[in-house]
Amino acid sequence: MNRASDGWIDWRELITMLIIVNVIVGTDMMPLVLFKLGKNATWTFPLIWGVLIIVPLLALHSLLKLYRNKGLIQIIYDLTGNYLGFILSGGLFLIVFNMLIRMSYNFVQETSDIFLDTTPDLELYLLLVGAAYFIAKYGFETLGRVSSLLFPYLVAVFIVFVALARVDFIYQFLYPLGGPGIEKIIKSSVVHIPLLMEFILVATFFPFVNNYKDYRRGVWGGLAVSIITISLLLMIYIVMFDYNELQVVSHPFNLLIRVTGISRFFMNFDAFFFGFWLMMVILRISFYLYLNTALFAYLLKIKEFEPLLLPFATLTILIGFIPENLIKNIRIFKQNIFWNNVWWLLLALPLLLWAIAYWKGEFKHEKG
Amino acid sequence: MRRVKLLLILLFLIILLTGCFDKSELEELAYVIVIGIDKGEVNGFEVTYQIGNPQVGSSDRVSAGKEPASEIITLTVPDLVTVRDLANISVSREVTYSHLKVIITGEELARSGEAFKLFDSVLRDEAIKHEVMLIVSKEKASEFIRGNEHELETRPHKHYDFMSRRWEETGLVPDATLLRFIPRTLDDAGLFLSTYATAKKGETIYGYEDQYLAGQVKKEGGNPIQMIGSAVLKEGRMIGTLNGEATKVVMLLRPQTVRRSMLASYADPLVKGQRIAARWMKTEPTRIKMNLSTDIPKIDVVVPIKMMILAIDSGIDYVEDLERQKILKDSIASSLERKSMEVIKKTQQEFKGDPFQWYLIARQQFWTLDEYKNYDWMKKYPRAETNVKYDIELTNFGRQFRPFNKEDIKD
Repeated sequence: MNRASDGWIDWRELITMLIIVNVIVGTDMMPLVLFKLGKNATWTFPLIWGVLIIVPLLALHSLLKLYRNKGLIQIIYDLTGNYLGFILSGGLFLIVFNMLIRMSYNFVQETSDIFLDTTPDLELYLLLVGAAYFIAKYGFETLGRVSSLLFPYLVAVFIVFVALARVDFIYQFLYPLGGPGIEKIIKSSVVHIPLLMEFILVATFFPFVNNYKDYRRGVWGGLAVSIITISLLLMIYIVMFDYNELQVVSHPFNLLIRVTGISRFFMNFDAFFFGFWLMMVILRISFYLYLNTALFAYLLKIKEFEPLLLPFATLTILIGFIPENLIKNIRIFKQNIFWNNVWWLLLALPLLLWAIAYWKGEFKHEKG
Repeated sequence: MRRVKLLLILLFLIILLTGCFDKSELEELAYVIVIGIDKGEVNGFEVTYQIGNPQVGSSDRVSAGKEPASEIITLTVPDLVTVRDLANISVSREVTYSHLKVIITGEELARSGEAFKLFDSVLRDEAIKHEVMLIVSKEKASEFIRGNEHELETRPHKHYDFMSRRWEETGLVPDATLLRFIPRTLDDAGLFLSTYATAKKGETIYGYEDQYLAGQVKKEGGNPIQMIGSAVLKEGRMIGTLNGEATKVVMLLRPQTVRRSMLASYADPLVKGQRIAARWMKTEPTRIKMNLSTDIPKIDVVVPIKMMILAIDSGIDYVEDLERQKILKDSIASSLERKSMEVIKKTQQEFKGDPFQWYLIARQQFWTLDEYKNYDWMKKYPRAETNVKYDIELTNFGRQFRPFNKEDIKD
């Protein structure tokens, strides 16, 4: 019913897209927040998220299997009716829009802080979001294609990066293994589960994927690779810098690529990694821009949503410019009552939907 | 598919954007290679720059004429960052730290402990890499930089590059970089050793090859600087020095594997007054066992080293006689053990802190950070009972087995 006209994506494109979009959170400001809570055991956070998200994902997948050609928003509307459906979908839309603005502004700041000190933020914003818009404009399929074409290079670069950084590792920095204590690790990691929200929200695009089998493969595979990679990245930060410094450093990834170099000949190697990092950032912004627009369109039941991309891209830049600096940006868009409740909403939503479907007897229907 | 390829090309083109607002021509940049920091006369800091001249030593040398390889200026400023603009009162190019190699702190400033605050700005300024070497100079840093006449490597970055590579091997100075300094100081569990150097001749003493501190070596000609031994920093403040020999021992006792090959001489066990020269290599990590269950930590250290005999002054055949081999091994081991115990005693009594990075091993004994913090390694270490053993393997004897027989030559 809602099949995209220009074809579907298969599991390879889905898996690479999800990995690229998700792994980048390990390289922005997020580690700073996490290291304050998790200290030297922060690398366990992604693994805990991975375990916690299994049940909601299973519930969601069984729903998608049941409804075949419907995305997440249509399922919400079908199961909860127009009023509650509108509230839930509207909530999701706000979460994603919030995320899009905060994230894009973060990346702009990071780029200008570290590499392009005197470039005006507006220019950077226009270029990052502009490039993301151009990818999103060609649709979900293109997003997948670009990801899958870029992916092998990114893997190669990541391997080079780890190999170069390895010389300076001090593995004892990982000890004491318990970090701030298991209870605290679990408590503080659960709250940050929205960092994996792509894996739930990508269900919006279920109709764009070849078939259920490809979708399942893509999401589970992407989840596994993502959490392992983020965990590895956090571990690398720890064995390189120890947790004390990481609680102060705003962009550990950039610190790390500055330390790496090939022997004494290529000491300033960071620009090489910066290029690939920037491409990943653009893909992430592009994914979120597309997701955000799609959620908005499905929410209001607008059929053609691609013309809405440009207004949303512009809106992102306009709102993104309101906060004066990064800390204010985080205070406004992250540390508010709304965002503080996102983590359980994301975990509970699939379970809620599944429970409603079960109660309504939809699953029996399928068997019969 | 064509569309996708086009997009990919566009994506790659974004890298070129770096050339827009923040473009900087290589020619227009002044590359600071060395920064020296001293206490200012009234307030603030005296910052000394040694700016490299990229044209010297390149194929473009002809057009550079008789330009010097570097330029040295000293300014009084409140921090390390604003000085970049102030430097432009006399330097015509934009000052950049992207090729910074060394930060030199004068001993006076290092002892006052104020230098650590300066590193805050170092962290903030992203251009400074964590691999920057840290050196403490006996005199003022500005005097040291001016006194350093590296004539064979005219370009300063090469001079420090080569020197640091040799240090990794010789162990006469610690490998002190920002990358290690910041975590160790923040963790507040161990002492940090920074390279100790001077460009002034001090009172010369006579010792064996490594028992010197910078300035004490009798040396004629060449570059006047001497870098040997280490400055001991506790909580960011310099509290003392260790000579070359002690620094070597510290390096040996540290847990990480270091592939060093050091030359050293030892007393001949059979003939008094004679020395035996040897090269050692440490290819395996030091084995450290700890018992922290009681209030007094017990530490057992085993250092595996491989040794190669290079010279036997006394002419006694230690090579072909297995019994003598054992005597030699035992005597070297016991002399190393004695030296190690002396260094440990010094750190326990004088510095009250551990420069051996044993706190890393101590960390492994705990399950949570709180337990580790409460144990307070810095307080416990001075009372620790240590036991050091050297596990020596005589692997090589060079190109000659038996020494020359002196009796034969006499006849």
